Amino acid sequence: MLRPWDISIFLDGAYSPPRKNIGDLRNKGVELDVKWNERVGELSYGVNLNASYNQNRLEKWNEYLGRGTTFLNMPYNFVYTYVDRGIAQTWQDIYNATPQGAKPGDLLFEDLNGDGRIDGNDRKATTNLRTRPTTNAAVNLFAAWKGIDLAVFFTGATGRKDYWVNIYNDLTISNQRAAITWDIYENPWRTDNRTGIWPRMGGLDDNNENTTFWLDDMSYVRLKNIQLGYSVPAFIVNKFFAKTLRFAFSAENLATFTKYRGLDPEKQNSANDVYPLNKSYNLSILLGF
Amino acid sequence: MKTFKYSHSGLLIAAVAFICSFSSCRKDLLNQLPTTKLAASEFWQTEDDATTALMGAYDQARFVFDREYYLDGHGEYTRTRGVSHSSSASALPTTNSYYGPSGYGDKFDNYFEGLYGLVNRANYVIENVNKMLPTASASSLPGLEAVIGEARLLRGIAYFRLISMWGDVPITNKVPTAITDADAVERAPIKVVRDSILADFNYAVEKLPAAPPAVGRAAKPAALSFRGKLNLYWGSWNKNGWPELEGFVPSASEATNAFRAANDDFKSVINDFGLTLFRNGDPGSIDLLGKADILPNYFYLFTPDANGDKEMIMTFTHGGIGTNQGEELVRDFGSRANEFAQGWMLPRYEIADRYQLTTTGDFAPALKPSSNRTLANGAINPNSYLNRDYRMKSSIQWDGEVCVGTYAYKVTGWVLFQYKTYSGTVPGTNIAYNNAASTNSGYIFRKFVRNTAGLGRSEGNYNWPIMRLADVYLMYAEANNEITNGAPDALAVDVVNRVRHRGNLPALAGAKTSGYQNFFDAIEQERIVELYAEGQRGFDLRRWRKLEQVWGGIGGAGVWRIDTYGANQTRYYQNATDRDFQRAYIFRIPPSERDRNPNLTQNIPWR
Repeated sequence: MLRPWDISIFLDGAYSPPRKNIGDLRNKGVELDVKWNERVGELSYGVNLNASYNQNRLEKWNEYLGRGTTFLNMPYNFVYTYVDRGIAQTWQDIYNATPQGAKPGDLLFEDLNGDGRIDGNDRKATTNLRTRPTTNAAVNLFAAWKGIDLAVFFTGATGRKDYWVNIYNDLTISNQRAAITWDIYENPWRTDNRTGIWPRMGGLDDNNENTTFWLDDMSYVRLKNIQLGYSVPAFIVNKFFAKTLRFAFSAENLATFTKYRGLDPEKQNSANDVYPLNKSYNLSILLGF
Repeated sequence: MKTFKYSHSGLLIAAVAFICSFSSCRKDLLNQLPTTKLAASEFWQTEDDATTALMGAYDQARFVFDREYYLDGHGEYTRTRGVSHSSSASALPTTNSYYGPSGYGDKFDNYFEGLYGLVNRANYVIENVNKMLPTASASSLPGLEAVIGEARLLRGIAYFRLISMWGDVPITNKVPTAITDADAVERAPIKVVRDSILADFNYAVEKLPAAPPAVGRAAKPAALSFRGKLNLYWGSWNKNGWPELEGFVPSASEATNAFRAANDDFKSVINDFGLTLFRNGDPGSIDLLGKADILPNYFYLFTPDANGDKEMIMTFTHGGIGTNQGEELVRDFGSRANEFAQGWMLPRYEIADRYQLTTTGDFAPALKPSSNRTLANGAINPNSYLNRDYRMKSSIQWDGEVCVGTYAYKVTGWVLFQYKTYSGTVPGTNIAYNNAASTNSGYIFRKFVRNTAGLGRSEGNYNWPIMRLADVYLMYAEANNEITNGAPDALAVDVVNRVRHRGNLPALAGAKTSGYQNFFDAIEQERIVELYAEGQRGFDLRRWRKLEQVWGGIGGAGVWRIDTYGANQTRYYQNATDRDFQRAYIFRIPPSERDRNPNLTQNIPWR
């Protein structure tokens, strides 16, 4: 892995270190590809399944390695997260927690190392990957009977966790140039909305911190594509001076099954990229002369 | 067989000998001088080379020190709403919220790094030019020594800032030879660092010429001023204590000696170099309320008119259009009406009462915050600002004041500031209201905002002063007050009055110059007004241990900053703990470096 050299703060104000070969990362995995095609009388059908699993592990790092999302014997860019006990409802909740400047409506963080304060040392390392899933899979089903054909395509992935933190659930909104959704009105905790599913507005900055409160399993199964077609038999078409006629209906992104609360579990998370995934429906008529 | 073997190796030897004698087989094949870049060993030849290298150190010094004004947000009179720079333009934090009066102590890791960047660049010049000295000709020797002097001055200034913020810091005075050279450094006690800085400053005082070789370079007065300032701070720390700094034992005798040394250095700067205040310290003329055709000299002190002036003891130069080296004072201090500036820097309401009356030389009746435009002494009644210190009109704008609007290098006409009215024109005129919506105090800056067109908001060519004569005057008075315990000498009183004269204020009344506290208060007052928004206030509050006094102490209700209408804006130090104050008095050693270097200790409140 070619990375910039780690260099002391006493030098890097004047010197920029060269890149060098710093560590060894091992990737291990399996891939699977299964196909089944059969014809039974007028019906033909088939299944395609492909899946891959890949796990990486950092084996060697030949210089100082600080606290962060890279560490020995861990996957590269793992989830390293604060752990919280949810939204404080009462002052009693706050007195019961490690002092952290919170008020009711704020998230309460766990003091994992027990030193009486919340800081970067209180994060917990997990072997979950943050940027890529470990497992990807896709299934393609198709069937045809007489003139009718049907194809369904599913994709899915698992083994990735990420935080749902973007500008749509930012709890400290700017007083200018901010797009405000109904969620921001309805979801935050308030004294008259104690069951609110988000921390309060304008509370601690930490309410949008990378903590287990916002950490979601990015596993998903998505019905990516479905297509239904009907080819009108030639003897009918030929009566209308045409050679072929086919009707087809297809739909993209019909359904996604996931626990992720954000927009699209397939994408890399980005706080500002909040363009939603489109569903699209197509109806096509194919006429050949 | 044997013969064959011999002849074989004989042939080989002959072949090797042939290649070596006629082709490129040579010693140190991998250790040649590069052909596309100038190697360090070839570079350091002449005085010009040394000067060129010195400019690299100045460049880093400017990177660290030419936006000092942001730091004024750590005091109580300036609101640093945000900053305009990216991390490539200044070592100061780029995050807007790091410049409030509290909660800043752990936000200056990058600044720490930038200051050591300056130390390293200065080291590089010092070490290499030192190597040139033994073989230098007699005629080039003074020039080379002056280059070392300037580099040592810059290095000293960097360490001075480091100890002012972090207390004990490591001394790294060698050019590194390996990437791991600084991996195990330890913090040196502040006194050791101070001695090292003094050695640098002493050398600079000895070797620098009386006048700078070029605008933007330092001369002897700069070295003397900084040595004096170091001693003044050292005196303050020893007198007032620094409990957050572990191992620092204040000493009254150290304090007295330091104040005495500071007194002498400042006196020399004042008397020995023929330095005068800008435009001889004359106040200049002032326009009527609501007009700005004629502005006092103090306003022009912060425009390019003052570049190269004798008052400017040490400055950092800036380019203009197309140099990519402009200052952004207009962008930071101006409003939308000034080349579409951003108004990051804003006066707080509380500064207004600090401006005294030219008629009495004392404070005006306190302004009454109110939305009533005709209330006597009302804060938005323009008549409340009659006969004020000239530096008031030069520094800030209140309701009804105008400034020159500029856009796209052209003058757009007068714009009038009226708090809460930011669009349209003044009824019955074609004067536009100033779009200065970012103020929350009811005032905006005039200081640093050019009243001429021709330069964009990021193309300023003002030479930012990190040391100017008025500061030296006030520091002299302070040091003199300390060593005479309230019986200042004639010069000390005179220099304060010279500064006051710039605001067209009468000389200090006798009661204000006798007695330690009276004279101290008079000096503090002048420092607040004269050095307004130049980044000094936070450092003054800390070395005088005045934070509790200003913000109400531990567990207090805190202090509100308000606006001209009387509305509360922001409260600081509410229910503050002892730790909150401790963390304002000393900064945090960057934890990322402590993670990789266990020798590096942490300051008490940050453990």
